[in-house]
Amino acid sequence: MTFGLIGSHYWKHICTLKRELVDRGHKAFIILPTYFPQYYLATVSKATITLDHIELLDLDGFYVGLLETRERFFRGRFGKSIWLALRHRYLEFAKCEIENLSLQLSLLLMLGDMLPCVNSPYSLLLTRLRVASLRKLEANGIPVADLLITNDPAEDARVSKCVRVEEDNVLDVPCFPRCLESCLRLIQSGAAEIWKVMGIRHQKIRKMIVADGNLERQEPIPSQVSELVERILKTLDLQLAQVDFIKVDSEVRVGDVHPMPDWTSFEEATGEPISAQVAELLVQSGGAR
Amino acid sequence: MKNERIGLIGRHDDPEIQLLKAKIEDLGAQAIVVDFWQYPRFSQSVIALDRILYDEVDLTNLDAFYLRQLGYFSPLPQKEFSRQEWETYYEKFNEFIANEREVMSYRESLIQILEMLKPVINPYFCAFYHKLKLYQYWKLSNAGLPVHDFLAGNDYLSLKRFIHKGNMVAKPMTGGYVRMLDESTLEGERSSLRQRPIIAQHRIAGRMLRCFVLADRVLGTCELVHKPDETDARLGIVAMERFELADEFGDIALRASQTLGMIFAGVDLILDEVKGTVFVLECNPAPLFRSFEAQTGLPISQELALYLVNEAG
Repeated sequence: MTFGLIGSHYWKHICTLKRELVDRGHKAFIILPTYFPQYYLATVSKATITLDHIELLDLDGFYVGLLETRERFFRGRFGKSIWLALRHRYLEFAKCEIENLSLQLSLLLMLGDMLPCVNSPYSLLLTRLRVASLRKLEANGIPVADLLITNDPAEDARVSKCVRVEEDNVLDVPCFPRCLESCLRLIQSGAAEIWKVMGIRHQKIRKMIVADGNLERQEPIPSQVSELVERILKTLDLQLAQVDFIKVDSEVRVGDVHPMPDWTSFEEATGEPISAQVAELLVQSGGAR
Repeated sequence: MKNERIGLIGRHDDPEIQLLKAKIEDLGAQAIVVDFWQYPRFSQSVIALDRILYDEVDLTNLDAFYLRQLGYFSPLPQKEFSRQEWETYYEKFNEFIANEREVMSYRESLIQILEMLKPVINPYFCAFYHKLKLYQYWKLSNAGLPVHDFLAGNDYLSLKRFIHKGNMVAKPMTGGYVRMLDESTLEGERSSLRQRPIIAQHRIAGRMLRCFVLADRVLGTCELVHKPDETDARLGIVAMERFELADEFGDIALRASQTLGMIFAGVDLILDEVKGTVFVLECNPAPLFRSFEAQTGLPISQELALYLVNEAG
């Protein structure tokens, strides 16, 4: 079988995933959408989706690990004279980027409609809907950390044990929406822990990383947490995610869900064969097709 | 029909919002405009697990919402910065973009949370179709609906082969004007294909129609009468006239909006009367209706207001 891996050649987890697939006798190639349209030729018609003349609909599945624009171009460090000159190029650049983003996202959603994808391209939207995802989990009876996002200074008085996102760098927006997460201060003082748990649908992962503000260590995953992760994946329609839990006293709550995790450090720290399991997941879904 | 509270997510100064608000109020319900253009500079908002406040109104207490505008699609604002603004952002563009991302995420999360709790017309994802024209064509075509042949991308040679097949237009992926496309114009744009893709599509002459659909019925259809040889539906309009659409074509408009999950839509069709065929051009998830109803008398805002109030009830 042949798989497409949407991500960067410079990301270790993408490269190890490719290696795992190749080791199993399959083919895999990495597609970095950020480099579209300068370095890739893409065409879409009613019946075909090609990239550099390769028909993507002939592939057996995709790992979807990235969607981004080249906005970093304008986020570099420039001398002031160069920066001032860039003003005249900005609008044209922004207009091109929105066209490119539209093609990238359309292309991924089409692939998601037609082929097995880990995760579904719709999960890309979860990264811009973090609060909504947590609310969805909470509505499904999954315990999530207290969360208050506001730009109303009056809300400060109602929040205890909170940390405010630093505003020093916030520019020209006087009331930036601040994320007041009630557990963060506790974590910094060592009174709480973050449990980083990798979840893969129908795959058993035994260890997690525990961070207490100073050090990280690996520990076995309690069975109720494993069950919770399976429920989270199902609720958010994900096959793979890193779930960060926050544990205060004996209470464990979801703090964040990452639908496109870089599992390299997790794999190195715990020895859990995440790349191999993701490769298995892709092969199984491709085979089922 | 009293006491229902409808949230209208859009700009205070948007004529469509103003008209819809008036129609909702005529029905004895209350319409509250949630204007994200004021946020976060002039409006205050809170999302917590037990409430969603926008300028002290708890949106979870409202009964239904109309989503007129989602806001921008990419965190890169589509604007021309003044020299002074640009100088201000020197070495601080990262923070500016980070702010834009946060605001975008906040706004979209808020709308999606509301969708979990209350009827939202149209659902959150529908707003994306406005910026995902290619995906829209693909979905409509895969659902068996009549869509013109198209080829999108940045591959000059493939595009060149495609435009040999007939009379073509070039369309942007997200926004902008439709223009004629032939070999010489494609050649002229060859270098820009390294910067942005285009959609090439067969141009079919015919009557340009806008069909308004709401839930499972067609509210009415307008014909946009253009100057001869006008390629973009929005330009060169000389008249908007009420049009009696055959039931079979109305069904196509309904199927198109339903395929994309839209409850309320302005479906653009092109009708070839000689061949007796219709093609779907696009489904608009938050269509303009004020000018259409002013010129044709179709009661679109009235019907939409009634639907929202009923949903709220």
